[in-house]
Amino acid sequence: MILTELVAKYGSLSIIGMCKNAGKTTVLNALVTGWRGNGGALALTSIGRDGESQDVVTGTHKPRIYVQEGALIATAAELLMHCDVTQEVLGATGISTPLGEVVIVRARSDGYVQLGGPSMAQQLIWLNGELARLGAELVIIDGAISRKSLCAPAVTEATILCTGASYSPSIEKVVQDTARAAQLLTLPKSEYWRHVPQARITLGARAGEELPCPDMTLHEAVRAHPECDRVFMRGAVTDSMLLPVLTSAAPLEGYEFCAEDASKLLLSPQVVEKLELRRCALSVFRRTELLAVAVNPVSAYGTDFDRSELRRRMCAAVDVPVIDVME
Amino acid sequence: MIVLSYELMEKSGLRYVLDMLGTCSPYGAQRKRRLRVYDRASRAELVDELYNVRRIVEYMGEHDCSGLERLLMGLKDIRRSVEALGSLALSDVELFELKRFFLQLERIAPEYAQLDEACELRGMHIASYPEALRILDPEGQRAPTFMVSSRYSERLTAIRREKRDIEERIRSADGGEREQLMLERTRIAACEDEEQANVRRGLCERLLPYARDVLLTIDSLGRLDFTLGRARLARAHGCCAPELTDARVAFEGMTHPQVAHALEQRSKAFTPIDVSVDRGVTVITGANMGGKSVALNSIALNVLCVHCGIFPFARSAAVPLFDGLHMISEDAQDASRGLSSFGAEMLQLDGAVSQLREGELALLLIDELARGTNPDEGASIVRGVVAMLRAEAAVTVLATHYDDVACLADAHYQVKGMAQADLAELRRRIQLQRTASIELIEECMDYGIARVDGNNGVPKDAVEICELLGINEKIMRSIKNFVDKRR
Repeated sequence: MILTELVAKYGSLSIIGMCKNAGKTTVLNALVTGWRGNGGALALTSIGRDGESQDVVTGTHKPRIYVQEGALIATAAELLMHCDVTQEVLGATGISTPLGEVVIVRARSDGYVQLGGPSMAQQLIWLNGELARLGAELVIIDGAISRKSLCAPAVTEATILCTGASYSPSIEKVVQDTARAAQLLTLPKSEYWRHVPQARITLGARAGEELPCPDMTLHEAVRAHPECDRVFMRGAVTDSMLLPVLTSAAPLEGYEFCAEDASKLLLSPQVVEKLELRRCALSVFRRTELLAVAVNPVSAYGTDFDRSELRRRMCAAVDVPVIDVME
Repeated sequence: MIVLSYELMEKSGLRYVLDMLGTCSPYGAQRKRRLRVYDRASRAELVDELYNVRRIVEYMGEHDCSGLERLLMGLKDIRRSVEALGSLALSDVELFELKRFFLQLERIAPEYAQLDEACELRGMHIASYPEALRILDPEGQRAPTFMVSSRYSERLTAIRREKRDIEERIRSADGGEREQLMLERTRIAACEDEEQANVRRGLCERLLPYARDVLLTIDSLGRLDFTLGRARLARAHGCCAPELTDARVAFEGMTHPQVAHALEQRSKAFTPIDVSVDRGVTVITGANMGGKSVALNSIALNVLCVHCGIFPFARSAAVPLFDGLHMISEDAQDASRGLSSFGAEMLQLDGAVSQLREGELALLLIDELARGTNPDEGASIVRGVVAMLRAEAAVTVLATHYDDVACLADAHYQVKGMAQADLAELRRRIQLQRTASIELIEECMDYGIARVDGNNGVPKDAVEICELLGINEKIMRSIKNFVDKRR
């Protein structure tokens, strides 16, 4: 299976979806089944809740997560009773969730599990380390809907993006928006910035000096310093930050906009398009490794796609391998 | 009994002391949070507490307790699980926590035994529970993990064997056969679940007889942790073991850590206070430079510490067990409530006096009563209050700058102030450094207090200070005229 080969060299992986029912669990199950490893264990956790047989939001049927003996599971105490693997409790983490404390168990048999993990990046980083200490060779974090903070390289080394017919009844829109998301996840690493500046907005000039603009909006900073041609934006980068700049008369050709990492980019496709139109470059300080885009031609809402067409069009739109989850 | 109100804890500085007092386990932290105040009825228990702290302070002088403290840090609060044993429905995670607790106790018990052998601590019972641990660890592996072992039940062994067979067949099956096997697996997994619940119920039943003792052990662990914390604090600040008296309050070398810390920030040192007061009224007089209030607050704090089993911040201390403690002073909060400061403090005094009971003993600490009202009436008010309080069942310490109050009291202390200062030397230094005159005078001020004759008047430092400050001669001459007239 191509998936297991793709993840072979990473110690942690996140699986994120464009929408619910995009096929994240199917991808996860494929990884779990195909997992061989080099003597270490496979560890699973999630951001938020996952693994229930019926989607608690939409009520549609969902595949369940079936693990093999030896896997490590970090999940909320109340979800343990819905796991039918024989369990050995290894530790309580002190991380609390609405479904109780996150507990680490080892599966002493094959079986179904439900995942409910921490929701804060810092907790996930800690949990990652704890699972590695308990013998995990690969930690997979199952992402809940629109929790893109997962692909922050600080949390996992690599990521897989899931998409499919459930995102939109229009195949055109599915391909286009997924390609946009994939593009943000594969942005180049900035060659200019060597460290993360302190200020929210820091301008950079050709000569190499840095100009922190702590009390200005992005638009004010860009307008005040026409000699600069790049900017570092610390924290979230939003449409409302960029739009005033992109709709202004300032000369922007070749301007580089750099964010900390892809998870900080909360941009609509329209704004990304405007950036391209004005020939601006978007870059990141820490790069995410996007391993693949997984497509699911089956919709939870009844409008399925032609699977070969979906795959063909997605392949043409992105630069990373495309996997059909139903294969 | 003294009630630890929020105001009293803040005003006295007890909150600051508690913030310095570190604990290791959730049980010790709870002891600190729900701080117990001892009274005459629980005197014997307080004696034991103070004895325990003293023994550990001594022990810490020669031995390192950090190993034991680290072990206490590994404890989690399992009281709810222990209390729930009777429901016979603990989960795997709760049984895991219990097992972890018993394992940790196996490590704590020998360390504690060593401490106990040297200190002969009172009222603590900390021992391990090897039989209870064996219930949760039948293989005796001491692993810090828990699972419902197949050992517990033959039926469970058989179910798991069958489940494993099916799971192995599932791995290589597909299509309809796999679906059939999955259904089969779901059925057997339900059987496993049911049998595991039976086993857990059995484990709870077997653990239930230990529940009461385990809760007592937990109580002792909290007590040990809190005692270690108090001993560490006492060593760090040179606190002493107090003597319990019937009415006398006496401190030697007493300090107030919060005030001392604030002074340190300004590179100044706290002047330790020696004071001894008894039933009746003691008056403290002195110049208007803060020594009096600090003395009163230090008495309040250190008396409170003793009532909570915390060693007082002094070289030696003797304190009775009071039935009430009242700090009466002008208060910014009262002003914001719209009361005049004078009205507010009189109401405080009224409240305190109305709580005095025959056969009980209260401590009244009154700071500059009626300072805000006109001096003639103010002095009369203070004198009236002193005369009245002498007959009450209370130990009263009253700070004032009014004249002719001390002569009515049972004892009189004065802030030493400039009495011992070498004025000629000070004058010379001020001449050399005019701009720093206030700092130079402060340096010569002795904030300690000393017992004097009741007929001693209020120290007359004010005119002296004016002169040292180099106040214009015209002003000084006029002032002196009036001072002489009065005398």
